[in-house]
Amino acid sequence: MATAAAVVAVRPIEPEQASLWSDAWRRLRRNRFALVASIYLLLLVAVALISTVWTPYRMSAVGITETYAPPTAAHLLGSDELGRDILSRLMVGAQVSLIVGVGTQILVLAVGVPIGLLAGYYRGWLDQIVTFIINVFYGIPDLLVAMILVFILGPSLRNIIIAIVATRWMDMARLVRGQAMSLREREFVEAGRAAGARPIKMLFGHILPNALGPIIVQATLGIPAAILFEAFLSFLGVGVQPPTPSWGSMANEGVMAIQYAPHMVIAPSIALSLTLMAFNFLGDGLRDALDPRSRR
Amino acid sequence: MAPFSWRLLKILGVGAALSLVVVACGPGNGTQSNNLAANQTLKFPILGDFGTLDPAQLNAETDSEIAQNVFNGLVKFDNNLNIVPDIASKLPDVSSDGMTYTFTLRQDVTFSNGDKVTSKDVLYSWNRAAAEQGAYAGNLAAIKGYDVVSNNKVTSGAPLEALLEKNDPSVTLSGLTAPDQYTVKVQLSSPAGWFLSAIALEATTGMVVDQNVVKNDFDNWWTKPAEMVGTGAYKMTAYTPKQSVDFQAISNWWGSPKPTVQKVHIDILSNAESAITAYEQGSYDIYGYGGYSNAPIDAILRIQGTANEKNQLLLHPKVRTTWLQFNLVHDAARSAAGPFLLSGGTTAKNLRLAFALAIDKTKLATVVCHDIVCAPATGGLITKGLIGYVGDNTDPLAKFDATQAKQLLTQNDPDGSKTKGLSYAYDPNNPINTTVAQFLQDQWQTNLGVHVDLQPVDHSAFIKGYLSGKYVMARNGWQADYNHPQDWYDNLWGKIPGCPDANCGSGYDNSAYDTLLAKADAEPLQQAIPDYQALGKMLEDDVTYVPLYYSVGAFLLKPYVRGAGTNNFFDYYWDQIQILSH
Repeated sequence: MATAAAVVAVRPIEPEQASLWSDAWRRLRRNRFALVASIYLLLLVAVALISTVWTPYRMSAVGITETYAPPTAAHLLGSDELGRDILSRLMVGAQVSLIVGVGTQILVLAVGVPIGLLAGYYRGWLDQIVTFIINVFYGIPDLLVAMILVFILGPSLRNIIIAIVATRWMDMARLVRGQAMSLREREFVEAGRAAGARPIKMLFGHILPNALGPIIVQATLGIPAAILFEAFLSFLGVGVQPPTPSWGSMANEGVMAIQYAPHMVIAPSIALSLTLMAFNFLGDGLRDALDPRSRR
Repeated sequence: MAPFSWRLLKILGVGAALSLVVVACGPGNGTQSNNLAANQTLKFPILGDFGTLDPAQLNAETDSEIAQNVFNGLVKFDNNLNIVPDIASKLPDVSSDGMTYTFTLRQDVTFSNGDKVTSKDVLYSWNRAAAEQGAYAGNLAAIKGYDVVSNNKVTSGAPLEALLEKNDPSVTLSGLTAPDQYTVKVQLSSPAGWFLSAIALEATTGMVVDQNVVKNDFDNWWTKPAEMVGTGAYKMTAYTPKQSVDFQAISNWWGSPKPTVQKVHIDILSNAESAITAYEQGSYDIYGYGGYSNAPIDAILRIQGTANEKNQLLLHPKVRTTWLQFNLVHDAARSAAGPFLLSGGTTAKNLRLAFALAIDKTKLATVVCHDIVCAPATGGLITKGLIGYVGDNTDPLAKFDATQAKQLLTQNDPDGSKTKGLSYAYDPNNPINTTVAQFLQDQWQTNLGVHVDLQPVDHSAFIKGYLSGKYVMARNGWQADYNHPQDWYDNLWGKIPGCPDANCGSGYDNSAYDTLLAKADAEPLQQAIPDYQALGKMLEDDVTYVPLYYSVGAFLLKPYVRGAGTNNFFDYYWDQIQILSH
């Protein structure tokens, strides 16, 4: 008995071993808001994919029912000022929002990460130039830059993404620059340098992987900002061009008739709000999950 | 005492309630008092600031609807569109050959600053307008010597004033003379059946201005209330650009009817919806005046569904036709090319016809306008109700035949290369242009399988681009100035406006058209009508345009506003309006 009791008493408690990513995933799953947001976003992606091959009605078909018709069984979200089915247009609008949101962040990553890494790692004159350029871009009103670019390049989905990237890349570059400046002083980087690793290897093999957490969070939070920006441009009439619907342009058309047909503005506004909230909840969840200091 | 008091109280209560009901159902809600209100201030919104109120430069209906209350000409249109004397004491004596018009002026006409109007003022005003070469200078084009004055190089400011003061031949219409203080004699260069209509056009080049004030600030005199002097029933008293403008009735005005409304306050807003909401909330007495009768369809539908407002809605056809314009000429001055050029022969013509037949104009009026604010344009270019209107369903380009359209497209563009990458330009400033553009885009996609990009362009840039031949397909339209077919056929096609390279949306340049137009313009109206209709047929045969719709204006008039309204052309004058007790 005594022997057995002694054995139990001295058995060490082994800490559960988990990688950064599995640990983050475990904590993300515990965040109910983030989980619900993820499910919503998966559904949104599914809707966007389905709308590439099927919508209840052709999204640009005019006069398929009464104009300004309120929701009915045949047209669940009603119709707009040209008698077009709002649900069909909302589904196609989801494509636009996701393409703009994700496409913008892919380009922002492609531009901002290398610039930030180089500036933060090498510092010196390169950092000064990059910092100066970033500050200049911050000093110019983003809406003005985007509108001028869209006017010059022409209003298309591709050019809207380019315009948004031109006003958003600095956030990512500055974040990555800060991460790189911090990480380059860490021991494992010192060790790598001492071992003769090439700068490219140091940047993309050691520093970037260790900065991925904040980058992912920043990119995730950048998606709703880009979606909102596109909606705003479309609301102003310089966004995606007809017949392609955008939630912003649909809201704009709805506002014109808000007193007579409020459903026209309610449907795209709710879709836009839910999507923005979902991306923000997911971003917050990812930040909590990937931030080692917030472990609980 | 107590029971009696209680009974009395009940009777008084019921009486009070009945009184409230009576008051609620009284004049404010249906029955209207015939007594004039103590406050005769008319308030209404307009949806943009003035371009100009100078008759020599005035170009837009939105400006003329205001300025017509400040200026007069020798003759004018009455509410029924008859030409009647205005500053002239009677209609002019016309020589038997139709070449000489002699006007006798009233001797009691004064400007708002007290200056008397004489024949010298008419000569100054018309010479100035012809020399400035504003948008409506052409209304004086029939007068002998116009060709000299219109080529004058000094078109503004003090230099032009100096030339006018010394009656320099370069700025003096040789056919315009004043035998005495109250007689004006007009010698035409060739017979022009449209001359009287042109000089009667409200607020434009036929109006009389006061040299004593104009000369002090030749180009901007109209912007200052103290100097904005005219002969009309009202004068400007305050003007804050982009905010508001106020007018006051002239006491002892020489004309008739004598104005009842003493003050007119106009707010310059930017949004039709908010203007209509303000009207509904009682901030304004009327909506739609000042050339802004294109109310949004959703607002009209809402008002039609509101019991106490639907009777305030006045829908009236306006003399405005909207059509799609093809670019027909491509040269050094016209950058747009496209598959619809006259040089493309039968193939291009068939493609134009395919694009025309692919549009269901009846559906357009139903979907876009709810059959309220527009009607399908099936009777030719000239709007229904005007002289020269050909008749319902007479325009072959107004037909809808998707099958024939598709056949024509397949035969003339079998691989789709000619109609690839097309775009349709329009100005989205008027919301209906956007919905029409999207409707057309869907019609071509559905009925032809052709995708056409939409190209929204801000209004002023659009007009410039359009007139210089930058668009393969574009929105076009014309609002009649006066009830004469010459107004339509002189200004849009052929050599007179400058086609193909200047001031010409289509580029349409056809010597047969020019010859027939010259003949029609010289003829008396009744004799000219068949010729004008033949010109319309020529445009149809060449498939130069696609008729879309005729416009209907929408006005809101409070029940206590009497005398306000509109004919096909213009708002009824302010001096005809009375505000009743309410």
